[in-house]
Amino acid sequence: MIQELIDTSISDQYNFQQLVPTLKESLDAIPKQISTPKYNDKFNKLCFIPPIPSNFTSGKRKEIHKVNKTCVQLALKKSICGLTRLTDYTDISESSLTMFADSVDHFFKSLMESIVTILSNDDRETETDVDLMTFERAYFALTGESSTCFFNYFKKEIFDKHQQTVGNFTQKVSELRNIVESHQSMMNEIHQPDFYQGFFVKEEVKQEFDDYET
Amino acid sequence: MENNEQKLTNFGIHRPKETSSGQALSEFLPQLETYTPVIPDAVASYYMNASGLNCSDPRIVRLISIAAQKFISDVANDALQHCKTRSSATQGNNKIQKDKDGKPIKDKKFTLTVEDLAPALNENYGITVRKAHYFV
Repeated sequence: MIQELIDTSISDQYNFQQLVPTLKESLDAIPKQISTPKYNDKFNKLCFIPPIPSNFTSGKRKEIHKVNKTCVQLALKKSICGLTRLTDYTDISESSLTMFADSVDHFFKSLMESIVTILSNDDRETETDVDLMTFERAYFALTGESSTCFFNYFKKEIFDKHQQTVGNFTQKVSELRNIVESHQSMMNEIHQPDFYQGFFVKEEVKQEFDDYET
Repeated sequence: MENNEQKLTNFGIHRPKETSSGQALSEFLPQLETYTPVIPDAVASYYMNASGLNCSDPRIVRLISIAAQKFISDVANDALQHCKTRSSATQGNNKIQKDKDGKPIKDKKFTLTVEDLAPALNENYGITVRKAHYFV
């Protein structure tokens, strides 16, 4: 058995010396990929935006207007209409709007219920302030996903979409501006005094006119 | 080429790419200061007050508003997919809608109905909606 192994290692098909590099080789022969690193465009530059301290970032109390139930229902329906319009819907039926508003109401109540449950489980029934950790746990308990997904939603669904909309708008504005400029230049050419003379007045008539003037 | 490299690194075993779920909330929260959510903060604070919670931190109120906004847009997106699949199933794949002059209609109109909304709510969030007995 051992003899067979030695035979195979020494044979031409299986070069044993190539597989076991010496210490000198491993020190001297540095791979080219390590010595000459290449930076592709795929690597994004790291940038750090220092947070600007404000009342919002420090979590200071802010006065919010109190609204009643009917006002809340109207606000929900209005926001539902706006958001469904953003998702390429053109119309919404009255019954589905009412149902959607009820489901959002249900979502709010379920979220609050799970926050209260988490507070009571942690023996903090008397506390009424909600911190970030409690909200995260409650949201995870309700939806099954972390609230860190808000960043992706904020970036992809809101920020990128707004940028796209603004880009389309600026493109259309630039097209319109070009059309207006070309129209303006054309109108200027038309209103020049020699414009019509070149086309319509014959040279003989023009000469007669010049003779008359002199 | 990339697939071969991926196979070599994964030793021939299919391993899904690790996707980050999002950024840290502490980095995300300052960005929300300048953003006004579609659902006003007053609505979120109304529900907080109704369940006996104090809305002292404006960041939490803003996060709750965004959570509800995400809920609405997710449900609306799912309902739109339902609507598209349903309309394509009824019309058939080869048929193209045409107007009176025989020209194909480019801008298709989508209407949000209960038929699309109910499965979208039920699948992702487990909210079962039914019509009342007297409407059936």
